[in-house]
Amino acid sequence: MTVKKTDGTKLREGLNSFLTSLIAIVLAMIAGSILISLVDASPAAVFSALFKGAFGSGKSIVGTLNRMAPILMAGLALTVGNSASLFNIGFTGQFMLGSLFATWVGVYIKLPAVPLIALMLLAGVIGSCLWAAIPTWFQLSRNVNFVFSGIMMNYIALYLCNWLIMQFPGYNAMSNATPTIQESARLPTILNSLGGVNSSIIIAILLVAVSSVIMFKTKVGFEMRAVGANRNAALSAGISINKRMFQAGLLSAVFAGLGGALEVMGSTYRMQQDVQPTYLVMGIAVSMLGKENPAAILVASLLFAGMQNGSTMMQLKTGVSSQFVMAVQGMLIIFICSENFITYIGKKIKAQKRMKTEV
Amino acid sequence: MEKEKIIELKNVSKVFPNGVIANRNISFDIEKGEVHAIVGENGAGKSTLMNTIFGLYTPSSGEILLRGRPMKISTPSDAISQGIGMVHQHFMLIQSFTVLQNIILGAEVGNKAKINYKKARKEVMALSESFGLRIDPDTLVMDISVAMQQRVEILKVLWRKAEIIIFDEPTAVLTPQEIDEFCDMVLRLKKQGKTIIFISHKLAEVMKVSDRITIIRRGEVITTKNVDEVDEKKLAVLMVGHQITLGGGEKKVIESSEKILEVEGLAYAENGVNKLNGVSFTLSPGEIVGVAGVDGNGQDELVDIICGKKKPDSGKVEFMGRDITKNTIGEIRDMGLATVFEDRHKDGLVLSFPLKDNLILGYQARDKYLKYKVFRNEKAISEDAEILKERFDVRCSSMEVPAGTLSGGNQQKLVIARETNFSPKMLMTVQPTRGLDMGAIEYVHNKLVEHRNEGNGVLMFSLELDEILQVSDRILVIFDGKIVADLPNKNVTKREIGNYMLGVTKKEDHDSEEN
Repeated sequence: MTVKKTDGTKLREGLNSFLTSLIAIVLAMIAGSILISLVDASPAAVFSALFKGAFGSGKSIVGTLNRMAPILMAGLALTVGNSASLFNIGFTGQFMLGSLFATWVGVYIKLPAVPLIALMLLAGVIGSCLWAAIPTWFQLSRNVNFVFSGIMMNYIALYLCNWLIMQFPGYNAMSNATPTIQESARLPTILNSLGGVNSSIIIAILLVAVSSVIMFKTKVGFEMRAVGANRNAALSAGISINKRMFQAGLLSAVFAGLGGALEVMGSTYRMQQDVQPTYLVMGIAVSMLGKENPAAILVASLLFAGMQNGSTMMQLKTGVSSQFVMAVQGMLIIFICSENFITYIGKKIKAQKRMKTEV
Repeated sequence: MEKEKIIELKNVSKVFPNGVIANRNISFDIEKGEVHAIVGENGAGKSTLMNTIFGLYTPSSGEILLRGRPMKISTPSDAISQGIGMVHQHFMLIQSFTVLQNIILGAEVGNKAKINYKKARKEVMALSESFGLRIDPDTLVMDISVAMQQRVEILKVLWRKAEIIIFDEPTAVLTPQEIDEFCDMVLRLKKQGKTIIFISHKLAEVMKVSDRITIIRRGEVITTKNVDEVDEKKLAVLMVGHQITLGGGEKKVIESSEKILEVEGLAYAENGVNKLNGVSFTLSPGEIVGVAGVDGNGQDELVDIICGKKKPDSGKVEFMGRDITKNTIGEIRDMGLATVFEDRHKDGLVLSFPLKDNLILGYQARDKYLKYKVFRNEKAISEDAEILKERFDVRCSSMEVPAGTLSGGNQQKLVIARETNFSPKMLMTVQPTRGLDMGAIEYVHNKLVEHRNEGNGVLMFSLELDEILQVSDRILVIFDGKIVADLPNKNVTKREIGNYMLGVTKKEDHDSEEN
């Protein structure tokens, strides 16, 4: 029998990265406050309105939860790629193709709810993976940078979807959208007394667990993380770098596609032309805040969903444009990137304290 | 005559927040104008101690007196203003700046807006003259040798008017000739009245330059000796705590006619340069073959071809009778040819991963470590980690800590533990003791011989001739991409091997013009 030893190392590391993330958030709020002061509004009022809009009432919490699933999926997709040092900037295109494939199934395939929903998820995965395979293949066989081709694939995806949406039988020219999916293809809502949360969030949370198992509990995940953490050591250990990076790219695309499918099944019920989802940026931020830690990824996506959701009330109450939220998100990314800077400041403060106690 | 004590340590202890006690009740003093060596194994606490004196760490208890008064230093710039300078093991130079710019950086002459280069150059040159440290002030640091960079570091410290100079492992990066020059330089600095603190585990140099030697083991001062009271052997025993015998101990005689490895006519060129020109040799069970040679004569390419990273242009590698020339690294390792690569940080370990994960790296696909062929078998992984930790005496607080937190010796133990865990028929090691201290070197040598005595083959590449002579059964010398000598290790002298290494072969007896 093995005795479970208490091990402080992991806990301390976790705490440290939690603290740096927290400090980044505080710094972003301070920088945001300066921005607000510049337009002659009160930072306190703006942030409290933002908070109330996000988490202040049952209704606002429901709204936040409804926005959370795609952000969470974006965070997962980016995290999985990052751990094999693969920046999946093509997420947006994959997400759209996932949505499109799922929509097609949801509109035309006549099946009862459970198999239909499963089939739509599968369709989303297929659409997304097909789309991701193109730049990944170019990268691995022709050494075309995945990041650049990924950006271009996002544009191609937008116009391809525009065209494909028009080809749907029953294309709705009034709203420039596909027909809506069948009732049986829609995800049921929960917490109906508060206004209803679509259950895609539950599936998304389950997927966090799944990704965590894949990355930390399987051989393939171990090898992917080894490739990301030290490519040379992975190579010397006999791990096929290309294969694992390709798989990490596909896995990232799987989450992107599932995200696209969930969005259709849970909230939009159809696909519209000229709408490019903006979850990529939030996904990047979530994966940076989350640092491969599933719980942190959940909290970070809740935070971002809250900001999105609270921005409307903030604009109504204080007159500050809801775009302001994007500025705060941008600054948040900058401050997370400045992790080294934060640790440096921390050390300085410690040294100062030491001086004081010694004198 | 009683000499002035310039630094005095009284019961200094340093406990890190994670509970590691790096220094325990350290007491000794440093006299003005002496060369004081601090020796100890890697991880004995030397660097912590120096960083404490230099002001990077605050002692947890005890006090340090500087010129008789309690020392108040909390940053390196405080230390510099009090006349303490440190030459770090890893140089802190800006590669794209000139030598002059690097020396004056942070202590420039001129007004706030403009550096007076003319004046600075004159003063720096005068300084370098006065210490006999000649430099070329206008060369870029990236274009000068490591020894020259060290000289720049020393001048940087002198430029800041340091009276006490701390050298952290200064000879680790130097060639034998450069080490001699370094020793002369230290003696010159001493003559000019500087106090030198010299941290090292290379005992030859320590004996050569020091006046007094303080030995540290496991965070405690064992003793301080005058240099005439000890010799290298005694120092080694004091440092490690027991008698040291390099070479790995007794070698069993193993008779075998089979061959583990047969390399035949390997040729390999890179960017039009021939790296290997027909390399052939064999390795038998129960044999350690040492490959000697000056760095860059084709060793790296040979290693990469044998382990499967590179494919030769012609020739073949046979392992246990099978042609492995076209196999991948993973396949070759699975057949039982394990490799301990030269750079453990680059190729051997994933420093951010916990120890237990590093112990399965490369072996993660073995059935033992898997459940249902897909999932990691955490229980088996942890159990094996604990067993290997015990057997290889890896010193760590737990197998969950990242590999990057271990000392070099413990990291190397980790790599060797992993690569021998599945008893490979052949172990290839490249510079297996680079950067290790005596205790760890002894340990590695023992393990190599142990592996050999089990009837396996060991192919050891090393740039250290002593090591080749101590450990090998047979010696190969590689020069210019060819094996120029293949000798049993009997009555072979260092000089003889050295001649082969430089291409001055005995029979032809010609001087190579290109070295």
